Amino acid sequence: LQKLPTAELDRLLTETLDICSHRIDAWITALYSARLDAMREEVSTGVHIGAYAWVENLQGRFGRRTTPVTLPDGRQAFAQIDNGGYIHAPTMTHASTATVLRNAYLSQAGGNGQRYEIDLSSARVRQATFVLDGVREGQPVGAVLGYIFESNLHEEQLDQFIDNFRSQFPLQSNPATDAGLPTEAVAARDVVDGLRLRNAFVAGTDVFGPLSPPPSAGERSKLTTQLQQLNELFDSLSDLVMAESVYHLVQSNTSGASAAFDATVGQPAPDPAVVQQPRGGTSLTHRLAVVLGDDPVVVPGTNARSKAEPYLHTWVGSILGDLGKVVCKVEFTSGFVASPRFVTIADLGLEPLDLLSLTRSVAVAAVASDSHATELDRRVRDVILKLDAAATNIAITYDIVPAALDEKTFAQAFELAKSIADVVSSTRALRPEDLLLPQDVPATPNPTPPDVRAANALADFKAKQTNLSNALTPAAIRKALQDASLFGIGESYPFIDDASLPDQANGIAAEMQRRFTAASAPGQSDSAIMAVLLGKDFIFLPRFQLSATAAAELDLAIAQGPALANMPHDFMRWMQQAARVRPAIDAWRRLMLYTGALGQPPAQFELAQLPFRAGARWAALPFVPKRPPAGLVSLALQRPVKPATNQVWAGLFLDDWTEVIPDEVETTAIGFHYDDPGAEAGQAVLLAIPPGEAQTWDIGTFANILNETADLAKVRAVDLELLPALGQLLPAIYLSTDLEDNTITTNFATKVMNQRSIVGLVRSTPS
Amino acid sequence: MKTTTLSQLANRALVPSATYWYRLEPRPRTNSLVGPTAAPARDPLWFITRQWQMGEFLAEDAASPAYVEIGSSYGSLTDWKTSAGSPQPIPAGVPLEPLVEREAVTPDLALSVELGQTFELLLIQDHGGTTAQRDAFRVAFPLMLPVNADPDTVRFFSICGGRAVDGVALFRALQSGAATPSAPPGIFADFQAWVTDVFGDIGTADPVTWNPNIINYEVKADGTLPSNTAGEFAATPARDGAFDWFAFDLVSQTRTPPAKPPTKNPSITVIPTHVRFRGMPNAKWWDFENNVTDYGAIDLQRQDLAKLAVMDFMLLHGNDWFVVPVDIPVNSLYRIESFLVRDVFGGLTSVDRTDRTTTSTGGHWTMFSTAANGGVADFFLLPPTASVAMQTGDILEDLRFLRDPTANMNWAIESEIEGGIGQPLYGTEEDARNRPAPLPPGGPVQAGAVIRYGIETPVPTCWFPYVPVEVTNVVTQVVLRQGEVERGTPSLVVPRGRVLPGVKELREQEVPRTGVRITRVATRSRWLDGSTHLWIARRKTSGRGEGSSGLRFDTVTNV
Repeated sequence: LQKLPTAELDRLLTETLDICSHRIDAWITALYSARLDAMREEVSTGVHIGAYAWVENLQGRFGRRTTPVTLPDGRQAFAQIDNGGYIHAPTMTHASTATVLRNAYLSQAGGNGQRYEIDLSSARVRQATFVLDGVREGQPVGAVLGYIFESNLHEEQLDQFIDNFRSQFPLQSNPATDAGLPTEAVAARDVVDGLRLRNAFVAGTDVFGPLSPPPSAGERSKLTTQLQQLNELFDSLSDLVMAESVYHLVQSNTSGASAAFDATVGQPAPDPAVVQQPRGGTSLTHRLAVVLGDDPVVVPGTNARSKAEPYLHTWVGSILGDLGKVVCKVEFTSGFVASPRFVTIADLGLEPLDLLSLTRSVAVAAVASDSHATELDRRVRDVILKLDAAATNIAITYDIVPAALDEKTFAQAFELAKSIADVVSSTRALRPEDLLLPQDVPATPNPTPPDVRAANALADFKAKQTNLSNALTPAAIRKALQDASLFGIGESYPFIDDASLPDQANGIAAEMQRRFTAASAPGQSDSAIMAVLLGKDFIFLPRFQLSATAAAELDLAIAQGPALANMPHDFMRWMQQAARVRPAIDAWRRLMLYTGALGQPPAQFELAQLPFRAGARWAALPFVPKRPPAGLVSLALQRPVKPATNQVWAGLFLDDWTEVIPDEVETTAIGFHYDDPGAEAGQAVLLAIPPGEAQTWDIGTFANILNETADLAKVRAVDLELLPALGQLLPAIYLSTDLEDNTITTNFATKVMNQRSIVGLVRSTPS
Repeated sequence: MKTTTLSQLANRALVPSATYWYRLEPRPRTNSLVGPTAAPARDPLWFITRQWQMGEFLAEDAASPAYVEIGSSYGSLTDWKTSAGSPQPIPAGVPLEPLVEREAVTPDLALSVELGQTFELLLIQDHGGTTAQRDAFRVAFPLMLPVNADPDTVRFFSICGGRAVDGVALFRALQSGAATPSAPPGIFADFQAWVTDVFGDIGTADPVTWNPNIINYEVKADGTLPSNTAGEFAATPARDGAFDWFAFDLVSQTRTPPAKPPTKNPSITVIPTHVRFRGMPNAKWWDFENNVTDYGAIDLQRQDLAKLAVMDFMLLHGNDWFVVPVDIPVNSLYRIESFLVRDVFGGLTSVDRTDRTTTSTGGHWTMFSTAANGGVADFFLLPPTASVAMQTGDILEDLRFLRDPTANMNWAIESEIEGGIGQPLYGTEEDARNRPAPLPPGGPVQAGAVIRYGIETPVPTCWFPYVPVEVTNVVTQVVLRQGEVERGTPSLVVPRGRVLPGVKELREQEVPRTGVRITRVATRSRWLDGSTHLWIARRKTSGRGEGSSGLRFDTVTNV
């Protein structure tokens, strides 16, 4: 006993006490146990297996099947007597919701079935959602109901009563906001509180009494109709809100259930889900990317951005064309240089990626005044000053008519660069998992190829920063600031005025120091370092290499591309439609319109569809001959250079989305009422022991044993409280007490008074 | 407890005394619910006893359902029409929304270039045309910069001007049969088919189903009812533009059999399952349960009818409700012809729709049904709606109608419109650009004058007034008519969006206190056969309440 837990001790003690007091079943089963032990001593193996169940008090309920129905095919059936009926619903959950509400109606839950009288037919759902819409926009329910009521009176030519209804049931929130203005105007624009009007009408208040002039009999009946409609409207709203709550409750979404409730007290509510028909379909993911990568002809630029991202530099450069042919006209006064002079972007020392950044801060004005306010103006000015440091009256014209066909103006080049910047800013860097099916993405990514760009950029940045800190003369400061400006640091291109240079230099040097400190913190990714050094709008494309298996699958898929669709026509049509709903593709469309107008060949996309399947067709096209499997990933890759799939890749990820091709058949559900017997099988394994020496079982014996077991089960529940008089005769537990201790004495009288625990001690087994 | 040893007992003097007997009576009952609800396990008989106590062995005159026999038939929506127009077929290959909502695509400059480049591609790549031919088209259909273009459009034109065919002008010329430069045979047909396939119609007309007087779509549909009669439906899109089941009302039925008869399905048998949801207790006392939702934690308030209903279902009657799945085709009016439950003893019970009979208050207990002339239709409607497959773009146009109680006016505000290349133009920014400079404090001031009199204060150029006008047609009605206020601009300010120019008059009740918001969005959707559809749709939603234009008449300011 020592080792038993106290709970077990408690149970054993109470069981023992029970057996000594009223548990006769234990005495009876003890006989069986003894018999079983005896049997097992003779033969210790062998048992027959069967099943059992029982029901009791079987009584025919006459009237349940009184309405016979002859079916069209001649069979006989019975009509359901209590008409629980069935409800055809959009999904299983909707059907569950409907059955819960129908059940509440039939069983009068909460004592009032009328509250569960639901009518959510189409017209009522629309009415209710209209009111909910108004509530969602912050209008009180009363105002929305009141507005509808007034509109209906207006349609019925009963306008003369509106004012009177308003004064009977004013909306209480309004007057304060219009204080100080002519009150007539506000009153005339006020609205009746529809909720209070409805409540008064339903409560039987005579809402027509105060009307003046009193309505005629005809008007009275029209008004009554309108008030009934108002009540109907409120009903449909409460039906919808209740159904919505139940819908969320049966989904175990208690917060959704509360949200639906709160809507009635003036808070915005989500769209009611209980009226939505969810639809199944085949999902399909589209991804679009520009793939750059190991291109043998890449000529790295000389500026910070170009060195950091040579692939992007090359690609943007190819779109912008020769920057040496983007011209503006500068007129100036000079002793020895001929004016006007045509300055190109190449003259400014700007490279394509620098131009992209510049478009974000500088708009090209047609003519720059002498003030040279913008960075671009100062850059052009410095080109002239380099030719003749004494040049004056420098005036720049940006939108000249280009002299040659292949020349562009600054305005055009900037607009083109801006459209590229719009594309780039709506993208992110391409990642290896973009080229894989979601299920194929490895847990540990393929190792990235070595990349020294971040380290180089950091060293370069440090050198430029040191130059700036050490520069003392205006000329040196100017040079250092010009270098710094190519890192995209605020207003860093040197001002015209020498006097303002030291301040500017100090500010920029401090910013460079901040960036350098932040970038040299250990443990950062290359992208993070670049974002700090070159600013957030610079896009750094990490390089990656696909695993051998992924590369092999992608190779197959790309090779299949031309067979997937009729290229480029199918793809162009698809893009023209997609651009209307996808902002990122719309930016791409603008760029393509520009490059097309400028005579560049249109960018060719290649299609690849994952997983690779021989004979497949592009899933964006109508099915021929049948629906594609779900979960396809359609890749549209624009590859200006075509590195092999097992080479180093980098790129821009343009856009992706998942679309659903709806199914032709939808699984709806029917919930119905049917009186199911509630009986359950017994939850115990019965070991029946043959009563006599007979070697065989017969059904009578077995039935007797089952009956006896059922009786025993009832006897098992007997306790002393059920045996008021009989209890006296039971082999109860008696404990002797002798005040003089003349016999063994257990005195409960004092113990019970002092120790409540005794009561706990005698608590019995079945609890 | 006092104890005494035997020797002490033996040695002391015996005093007469009475011996009492205490009887120990174990009482297993308790008022606490903690023990019983924990359902502790005891001896095997206890398991059965507990089941007996819970009524699990009570017999009922009932039989478990074995399976359900469902006979059904279905019709479909066959045609759509405007409120006055003739029926147009609803083909299987197009969802309802693009059919009825589609408005013509705005012919902006970007579309002109896009179509122009498409034409050039077809000309040169597909039909072997020459650059000389292309240039002839560029001359014949040159790109034109619209007057008073916004800055974005001007910059766009600076690149594309003269470098592309105006594809919209070409498309219209082809439609109207106007003369064009010579081109390889077949290219025009190819081009027109391309434009129609991708964009549909091009223009600025309202959708045919659009009724500007109520600023909403007015759509009707014809269908074959399962009862082999023709039915006419009225359809109102929801705020997301979808025509879901509740968008439809059956307005009339004709006895004449429809052109396309309904389909009769062979009877199917399904095994029903109990209605169960997560957290619901099992019917059997000893079953282990998956306690997902703690219903005890739901704060049950007096008015919480929904929670009451769910509790009632879970604890009392849940066992008597079943559910069966039914697959039905998209675009069907699906009627259950017979619903028979076959029980395990072979009996058949016929179950009817809940709304076949009226309730005690004369209404219908119904859900998910289609309203029909005060009653409900006897079918389940799964309309051919793209609904969840719809993919929408950014808002193209955002128009608000509101009441202005302070100025006693109604206004329409073009808060966002499409720019010259389809980019968003915001009303406030456009107002800042177009608004005339405030009048200089000039003009002759009378000697000794201390005040200046103004007729009215200026109103933003994107606000358009609607004034109530009494119109007597058959009955006298008040309509709101588009008006104009003096803004100090050299010419009349007219609406520049797509919706407002058509709304010359609208019914007064269409501008409620809540206001109305009309948006235009591009919508794209896949459909059952894999086809892709693009259309520009209009959506009507509730507004944000009243506004104030700041308009004042007869102002007096200090000089």
